[in-house]
Amino acid sequence: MHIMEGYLDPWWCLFWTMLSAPFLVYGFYTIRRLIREDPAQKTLLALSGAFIFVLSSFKLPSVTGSSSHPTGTGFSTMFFGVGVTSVMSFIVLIFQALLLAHGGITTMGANVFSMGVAGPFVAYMAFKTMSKAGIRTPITVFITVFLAGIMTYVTTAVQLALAYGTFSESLVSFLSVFAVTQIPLGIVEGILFTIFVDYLQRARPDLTDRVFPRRVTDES
Amino acid sequence: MNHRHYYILGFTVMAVILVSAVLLNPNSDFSGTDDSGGDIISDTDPDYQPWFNSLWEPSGELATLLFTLQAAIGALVIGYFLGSNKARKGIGRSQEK
Repeated sequence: MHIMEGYLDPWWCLFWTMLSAPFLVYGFYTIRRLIREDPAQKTLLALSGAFIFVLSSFKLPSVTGSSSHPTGTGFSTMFFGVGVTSVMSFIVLIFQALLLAHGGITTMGANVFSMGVAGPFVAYMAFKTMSKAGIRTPITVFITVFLAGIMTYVTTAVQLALAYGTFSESLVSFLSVFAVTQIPLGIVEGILFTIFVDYLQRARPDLTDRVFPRRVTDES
Repeated sequence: MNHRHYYILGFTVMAVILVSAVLLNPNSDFSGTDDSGGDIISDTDPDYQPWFNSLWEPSGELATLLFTLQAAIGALVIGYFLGSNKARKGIGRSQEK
């Protein structure tokens, strides 16, 4: 999801920064409120950030013969929504931009928007819809996590297509690189979080109650 | 099948997807999509010059170290959580006796 340093014109940098900023501010205050009102949430917040740290550091091979980073934002999205996820993504993106020359300071707004806002936003909408419809938890988790990852890369493709060449032509070529590579990685990430959420529901239903319906306990 | 079997099945599918990616592309160097993004840009707009360069770029070995550090920080937190759950469960059991 990283648009490289210097690869977006200043106007686009400003545009994406303006779009991301409100989410970051909102997310920051949400985190502060959560910690103050319910310290138990700290555990889930830490896990959300930790998963984004681990997964976005991986470069996983894809069937297309190139490799790409999973985003790890699905977990945070399900438990805390878009604002908090944008703050988590921002922290990781700062780390990678300053220490790894991965992404960049000028493209920070655009990268926060794709990874922390657009991907999580689509995923969150899907998550809410599926939860209301009473779809089984594993399926809901898998689809939400898959969408958070894949939509991040679709957004990156759109951002680059807007900035370079004819929109429709560029979009096809950027999508074919970013989105297609991401599909198998999205499936891997989806399975991982499906297992982890299932584990959480068994081991710590006190943490998952707020978001997922309590399952019938079986002590097998 | 109880949930543990599903977990094993899940991890197996994950491994199969990742390993098959490598097996299907024996000659690929698996360069990152970040870089191929840059290639497309230079194809569509050959004159484009990045207008800002990274403030600091680590050398290859250093980059590996820092990526590992990033993963380690996250893995530490997740591992701590899993371990404390395990311990909590153990305490619960011993109190029941």
